[in-house]
Amino acid sequence: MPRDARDFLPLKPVDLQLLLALSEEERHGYGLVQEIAARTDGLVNLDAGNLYRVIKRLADDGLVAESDHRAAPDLGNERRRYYRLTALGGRVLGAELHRLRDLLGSPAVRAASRRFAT
Amino acid sequence: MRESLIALLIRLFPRDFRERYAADMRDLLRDQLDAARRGPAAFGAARVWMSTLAGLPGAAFRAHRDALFPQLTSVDRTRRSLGLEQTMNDLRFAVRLLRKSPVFAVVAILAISLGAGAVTTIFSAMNAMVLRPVPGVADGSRVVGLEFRRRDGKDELTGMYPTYAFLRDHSHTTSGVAAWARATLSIAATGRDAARVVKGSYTSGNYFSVLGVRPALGRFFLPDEDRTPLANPVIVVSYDFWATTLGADSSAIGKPLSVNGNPYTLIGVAPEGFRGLITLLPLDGWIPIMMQGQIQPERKLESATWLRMFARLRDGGTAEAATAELSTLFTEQNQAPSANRANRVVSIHVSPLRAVPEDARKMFLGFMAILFVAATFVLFIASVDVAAMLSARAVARRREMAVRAALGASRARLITQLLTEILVLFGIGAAGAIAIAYGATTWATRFPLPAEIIVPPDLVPDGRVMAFALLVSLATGVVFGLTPALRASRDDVSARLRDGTTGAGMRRSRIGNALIVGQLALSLVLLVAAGLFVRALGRAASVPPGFERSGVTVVSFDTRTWGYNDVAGQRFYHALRDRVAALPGVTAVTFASFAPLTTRSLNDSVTYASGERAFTWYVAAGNDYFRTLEMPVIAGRALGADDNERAAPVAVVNETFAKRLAPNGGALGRTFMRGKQAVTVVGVARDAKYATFDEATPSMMFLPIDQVWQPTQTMMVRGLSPAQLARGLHDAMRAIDSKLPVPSLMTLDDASGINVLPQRIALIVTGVLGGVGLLLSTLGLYGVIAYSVNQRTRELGVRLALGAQRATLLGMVLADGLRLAAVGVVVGLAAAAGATRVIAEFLFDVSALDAVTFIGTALLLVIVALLATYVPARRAARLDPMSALRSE
Repeated sequence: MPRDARDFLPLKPVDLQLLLALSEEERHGYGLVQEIAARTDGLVNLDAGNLYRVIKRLADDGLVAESDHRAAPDLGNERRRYYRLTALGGRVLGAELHRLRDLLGSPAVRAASRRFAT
Repeated sequence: MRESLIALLIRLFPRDFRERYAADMRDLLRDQLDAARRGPAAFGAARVWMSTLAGLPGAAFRAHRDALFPQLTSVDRTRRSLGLEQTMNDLRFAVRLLRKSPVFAVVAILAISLGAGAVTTIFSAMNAMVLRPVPGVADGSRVVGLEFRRRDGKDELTGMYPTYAFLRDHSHTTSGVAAWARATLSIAATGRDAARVVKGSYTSGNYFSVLGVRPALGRFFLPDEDRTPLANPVIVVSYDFWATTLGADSSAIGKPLSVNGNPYTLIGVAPEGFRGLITLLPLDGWIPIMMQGQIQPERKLESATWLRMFARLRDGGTAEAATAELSTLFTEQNQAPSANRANRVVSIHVSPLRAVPEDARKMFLGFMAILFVAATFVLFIASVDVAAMLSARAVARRREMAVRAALGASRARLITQLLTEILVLFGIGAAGAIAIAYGATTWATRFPLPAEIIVPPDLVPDGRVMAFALLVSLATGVVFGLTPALRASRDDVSARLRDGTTGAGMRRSRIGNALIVGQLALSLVLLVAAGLFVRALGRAASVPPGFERSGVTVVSFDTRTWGYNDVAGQRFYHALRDRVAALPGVTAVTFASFAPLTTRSLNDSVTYASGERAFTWYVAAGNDYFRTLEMPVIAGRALGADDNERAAPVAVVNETFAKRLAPNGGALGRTFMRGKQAVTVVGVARDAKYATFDEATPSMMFLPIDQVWQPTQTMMVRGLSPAQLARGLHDAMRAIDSKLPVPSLMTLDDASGINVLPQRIALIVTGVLGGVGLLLSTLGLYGVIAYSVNQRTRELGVRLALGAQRATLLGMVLADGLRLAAVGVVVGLAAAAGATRVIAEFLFDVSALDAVTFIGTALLLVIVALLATYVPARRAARLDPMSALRSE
């Protein structure tokens, strides 16, 4: 039975970043670390242990899955495992982005960002 | 080093996590490192290492938590159990408390780490050599080793090939009987010049399938590949060999390799970590038993007793059934007309396959048990320290406990809180213990050992060791921490709230004193043991060996492993002798069956003139043997280049031999029978030590090496150090045959170090443990005296005010400490006198009750105790009476 995407909200920041990075294309571990670091200006820089812990958690929840995709053989790294967003993962990401859009659009947020703008 | 640290940290993760992601994590790290090295940032790679190393333990902890409490992950995050919440609170509080008293925390954690680390290190070594299952073997508990019981009740570990073939074909209680024997293989990738000499194995066709090992690459032997002698020159290599020597090239499968000079085909690579069945004998190559005739033609496949055998029990089959069936089969076969001549073996027994053979196991376990007990001494000493500190803290925190109790905390709740604190402390200590064990075992694998000693490939802690360290630490934590915790929580609430003091009138308990005495006594035992080993080593070094040990470099060769026959081997040795002798700086060079004082000996049956027959030691010695070793020949001549296989058999004998041959003198020129050969004595050499330092001088004969041919020879060179000789030897060997691997060189001193290896290891272990023990028990003594001075501030102040001399106070406190030390020394000496009996056999001629050691160690302990007591004593003497009296 498909679970309701809203059960997973709100997402942890790192979960959001990871799902976001996978929403564009399937990536392997190093690709994910790079993409997330670039997207957050280096604020979120995952080490090997924590990256795979997060991946495992999201995989156990059915939000991401291993992909059949393998790198081109000429890159010589056919061992690399790639990850992709599942259908549920996509719905959760969509729901979270919707939630964030609502949040950012709310009068309270607009007022606050005017008052505390840097 | 760093890779293995990563591997160690990855082992912290839950198993299913590791299985899924370990390889990915390593790949990621490799990618990050590559990128960092290419990138512009300084120390980029170091930064990646740091963040990975720092991140792994926390991630591992969280991964365990995720696995244990899945309800805390993304789904249903709101449903948390109250108990967990409380535990987390306790944990947080405990960590905060430790941070508030960093000195206590650091000292306590250090003490626990040292104590538990000592035990963990020894356990780690035992684990690696004895307990760890053979990696790669499927369902290892069903694999059993075969032992051949002789009529006299003793067991042999090897049997004959026909026995193996018969059992393999007829056994029904097992799903397969397999066999193997050790082989020395010299493997070279054809086209490349240098061969690598490795330990290998002749292997039955079903060896891998009976073990249930799967190849990492390619395939293993087919049963048919081991049916016909010399038909299938195929080889399987270890993962390690493939990765290092073959460059991890997967296209190497199916390609030719040269094995002892013969062309073989590489058919497969064993899985990572699988190095055969004996931990102390890690293998790198496996070839079919049927190829044995090519590598070792002198051994007859059918008639030699040389194969170790093992079997896999069928599902539901028992060891008893297998023992009965195999014994019946064995009897049946040896009565059949085609069978070999009657054998002394009467039955076959099976027992669980062990990584260390039974006889070596007992000796090794005995030795390790001694070290293990020594390590538990240190753990005890450390625990007492920590218990004392916890007691002092518990007293100081009585008021806090009382407040909590008054606010409604139950006693159970208080104890839980206190226990959590203790467990946090000891848990961190366990991490320190693992780090210490890791460091110590890593260092131990680099410990320079004589080549004959085979180092187990992997001493480094595994999951079992970590679990052990945690268990030991937490158990000691509960045992030594619970008492103070109980005491602190037992107090009467209202009395404690009214009383503002932190426990005035608390005196050192009798138990406390007993523990301090125990600490000192145990340290003394360890130090006495270390002292005795120092004396034993000194004794060994001072025994004159009867020749000049220093200044000689030794190198061992085995020409068989290069595919040389005897003629080629002898030609090689002669050519090498000529080339090395011509090197500048070489004053003498000789070859022998082995170097002296390396525990090795050969013997042969000798009939003396009187008709007396006895097995007598001999060494095969080449030209210049006596000149190279500076072993004096006191009559006649030394062995020369002309004493070859065409000349009449001659020998140089030692004085003991000469006296036995001719009690009234005149041994020179006499003949004796070696086996069926008449040998003439041409020289008499002065008696010396030949195999070990503590041997009684045996009869010894030196036979010309060309008359008793040995494919295995040791070259001894006087005049050049190993480093100086290396280049010249390399060039000389290349000039003779460019494909030869250059063996390792060492000094004769180092080679003979094997004699005292147990002593050296024991000295290091007892010395380190004794030092740590002394440090920790001194800390304990200091703590107790300082605490009592603190408690008695007021009393001391009164004494001063009433006119006591400062020197008197100093003496009073010093005497207090010395009294404890004295009792500790007496108890310790008594305990040491009992304990050293266990190590007496390792001490050469030094008495286990050696007075110098006992008295010296006792003095050392008293002096250290004095120093430990002096610091608080001086504080007592410097008290300002006014402020002391005001102090409460």
